[in-house]
Amino acid sequence: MKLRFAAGRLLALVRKRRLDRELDGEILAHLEMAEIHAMAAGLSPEDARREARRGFGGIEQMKEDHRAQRSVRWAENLLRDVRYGVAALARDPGFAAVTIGLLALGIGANTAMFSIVDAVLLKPLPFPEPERMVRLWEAPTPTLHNNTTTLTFLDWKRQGAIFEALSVEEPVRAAVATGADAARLSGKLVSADYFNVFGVKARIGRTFALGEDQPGATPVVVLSYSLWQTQFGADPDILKRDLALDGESHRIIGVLPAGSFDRDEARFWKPLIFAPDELNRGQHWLHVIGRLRAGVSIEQARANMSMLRAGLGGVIRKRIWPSRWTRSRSSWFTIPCAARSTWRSERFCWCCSSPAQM
Amino acid sequence: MSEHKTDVPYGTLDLLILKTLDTMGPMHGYRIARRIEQVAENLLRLNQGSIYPALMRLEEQGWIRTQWGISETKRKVKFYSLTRAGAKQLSVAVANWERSTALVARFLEAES
Repeated sequence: MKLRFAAGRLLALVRKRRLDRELDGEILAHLEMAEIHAMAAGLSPEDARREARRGFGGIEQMKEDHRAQRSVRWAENLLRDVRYGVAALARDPGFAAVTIGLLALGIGANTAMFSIVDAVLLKPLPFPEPERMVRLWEAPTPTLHNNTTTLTFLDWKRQGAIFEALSVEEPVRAAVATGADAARLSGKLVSADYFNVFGVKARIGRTFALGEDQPGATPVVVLSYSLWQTQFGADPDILKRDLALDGESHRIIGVLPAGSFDRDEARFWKPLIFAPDELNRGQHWLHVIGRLRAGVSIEQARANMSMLRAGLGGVIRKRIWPSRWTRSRSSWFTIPCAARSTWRSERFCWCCSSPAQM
Repeated sequence: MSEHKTDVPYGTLDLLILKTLDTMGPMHGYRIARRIEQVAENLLRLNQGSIYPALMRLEEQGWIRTQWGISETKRKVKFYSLTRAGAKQLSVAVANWERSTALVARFLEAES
């Protein structure tokens, strides 16, 4: 209310100056016309001026009157508005509550939206050289998802000149038995290159080595810091232990640093090994992330992907969108589908092939 | 000569202005004042300046609106015109005026 009064006062002040100026102009014009009129009736210029003044009446008094008129009206209007508003709200407390609630919701929603925009769009990712991190998609088509296929992914992976690291990333859930209690935990199936995309090293032990995502490799798993803390009591000898995922024993090779990788649901990461029957160009199921080589611009990457696509006999159409990664791991890790539209607006790398032609 | 002139009856200046604008269309302040004087044929003592506070009042009521225009003397002046609400107000004011003059007239007849 105070604010409104203050705003009202300020407006009145600005308005007062303007209206005074306008009124002065009107008076001047009026007297001038009256003078000309009087002269046309045969009076001398001097008499005409006097006559015009006389006809007009007291100028200063009129100005006072004018000011009083509008300031009274102004204050009256404001007071009436305020009184009416207060009375209306008091008369109907339910309506008042709804109004105040809606206002609160509106303000809250705006704040929330800004928090999301800030986290997703404005702040950079907490990884080294985030501008080199990219996400790769196929061209969206009406009927098919723009996830890519295993064979296309392997084609992309051969582009060593562009990508320093390229990895798939698929969510997975597995039953985990640690001690007496069992739980279903979220994790990620990834390529051996995965943590190179982020430029992240393990806090304890190591991340995946080359070849650990190939058929026949020993089952290994990397844990999040929070899983290590909660499920394993921060056991310093964690690397000597195994983790059973859905009953299958996995050797724990590393624990990630605290922070970035704890904000998400995922608690463990294990290599995604393509089964022979998964090697095709028909199933579009892979989410792909990558890290560009130092010095490779998004445009170069895009051009290179276009060449690759042309080289594949018109099979793959490419489009790379420049990208900037988000700091919010939650959007980036847990809701890739929902965040895709966000990413689209960002400078994300968007390599696209056209699955419809396959 | 001013002895023969009457002051503008209290509260009727607004009515005179509204009626003037209704009859003559958009006009600036000086023309309005002149028009009122002409119609009154020197029977009225009007301080021309007094129409400006009245115009202000009418504008704030929403009965007239203003537009900038150029006067005969090539000055930027406000032109006033009747709004739809003003036209409605005019008919109400005219009806009120007629009712009260009729009432007063009836009293005067009865007394005489």
